[in-house]
Amino acid sequence: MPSRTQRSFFQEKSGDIEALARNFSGYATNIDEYSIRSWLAQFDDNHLDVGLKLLKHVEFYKQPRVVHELQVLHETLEQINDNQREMIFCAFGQAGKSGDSLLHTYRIANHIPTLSSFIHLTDLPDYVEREDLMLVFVDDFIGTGDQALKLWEKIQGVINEENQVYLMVLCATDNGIRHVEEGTRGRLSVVYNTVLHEDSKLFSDSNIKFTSEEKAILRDYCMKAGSDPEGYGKSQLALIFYYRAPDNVISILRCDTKWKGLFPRNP
Amino acid sequence: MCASRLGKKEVPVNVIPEPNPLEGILRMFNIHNVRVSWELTPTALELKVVMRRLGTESEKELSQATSLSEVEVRRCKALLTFPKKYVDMSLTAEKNERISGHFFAELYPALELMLKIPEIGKKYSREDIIDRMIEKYRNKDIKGVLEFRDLTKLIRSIEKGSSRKEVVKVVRDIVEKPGVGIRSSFKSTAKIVYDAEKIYKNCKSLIKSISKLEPSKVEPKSSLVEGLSELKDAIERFLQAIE
Repeated sequence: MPSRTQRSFFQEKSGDIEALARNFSGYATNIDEYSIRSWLAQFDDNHLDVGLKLLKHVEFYKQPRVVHELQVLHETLEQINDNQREMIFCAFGQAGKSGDSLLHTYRIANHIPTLSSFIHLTDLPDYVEREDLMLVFVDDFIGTGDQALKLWEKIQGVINEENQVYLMVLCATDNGIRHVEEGTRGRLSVVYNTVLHEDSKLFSDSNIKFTSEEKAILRDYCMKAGSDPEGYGKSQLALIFYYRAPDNVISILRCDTKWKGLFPRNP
Repeated sequence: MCASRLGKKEVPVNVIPEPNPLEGILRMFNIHNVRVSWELTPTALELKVVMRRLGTESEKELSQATSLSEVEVRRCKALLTFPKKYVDMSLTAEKNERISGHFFAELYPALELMLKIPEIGKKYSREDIIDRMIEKYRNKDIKGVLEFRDLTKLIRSIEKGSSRKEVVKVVRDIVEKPGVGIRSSFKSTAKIVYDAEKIYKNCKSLIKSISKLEPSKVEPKSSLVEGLSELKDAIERFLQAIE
């Protein structure tokens, strides 16, 4: 049962909570006003406003936004591909999960009819003799870049060096982009729509959206929630895709421990 | 810099022709063979190129070309028989969700045998069984990929005298019922067949060894005689229990 303070807060902020519920409505776990209230109710009464403020600063990628951004990315790729190489697309993320579904959305969003342009990683050996390709790996996000580099190490042996290779993502951290491009000695170039800088880190001094006191409060809750409190690689992000929360996100938004995140990663 | 310190005007280098893709891959195989070994799935992908380029799937020839052992080649080939989504899964999923290439290589022999059992092959597709095994592995019903060897042995125990009906029921339970693991099912059903086979081989070996001994050269109170007497008693007790 909500406390009297909580009830009063929820009533006073009902407009904000409704707006957030509308914004987050496409998430995999069907977020509504009640789930937002339940999530907020985990905060102490005097921290409810900080919790609400955090939700207002969540960077949420709804499906229409993802579709639009994939169209923009496709235009960018076509501009890069000035020597008209054949484009081959391949999911780079979690097989059977975001990477695959993103690839499908990409094909539909950009009206690409040729299924043969879309391959599995396992198909790469079939293209090793070709030298006229622009290979485009598709994923939603680069955080630290570790995962991309690990995968690159496994597949680079079956990629012909004459081909141009790109990793296309909706969003990436500046450190992640640098890590990937340097780690692959420039073989893998990152194409992205949005780049996240130091000020995107919730607890960073560069982040001016939250006061030092608010950062300390949120960090404290993250620590109590556990489960990689600041997100993988201490990325400290509040970035959510409608189909999943990256592991780089702070724990109180995504974890499923004693603290129930609003955006659980494995719903 | 090294050359200049050595007072050389030119850098001494060993110039080799640029390798074609096949030569490049074979060179990498040899390098990895003596340094850090590759994971199974990347190895299998590279082997796919080698097989196409050399026009052979012979394990012996591929082993000679790549310096991989024939067993490793066989495991790579087994992995490549799986649908692409599973091989991709072994490359990309996050570490806590990843199913390694070894999972599929170990599953392969048991999977082929399961599909040959009509009661299972007619009811489930290849992918149905793979998905169920992945789920069991993630739920820790199957604790390690080597347990699939027990599953293979369990099915093969039919050829060694286990009740077909009983084995098929156990295999079906493993496929169908949550919480039913491989190791315990194997122990309760087929382990005795393999234990008996092992003891039989040991008996034959022991008989052969004893027949080579010259009794007059053995001390009556030696540890050998003592051990054989204990063995004789144990065997008699066991045979009486059977009768």
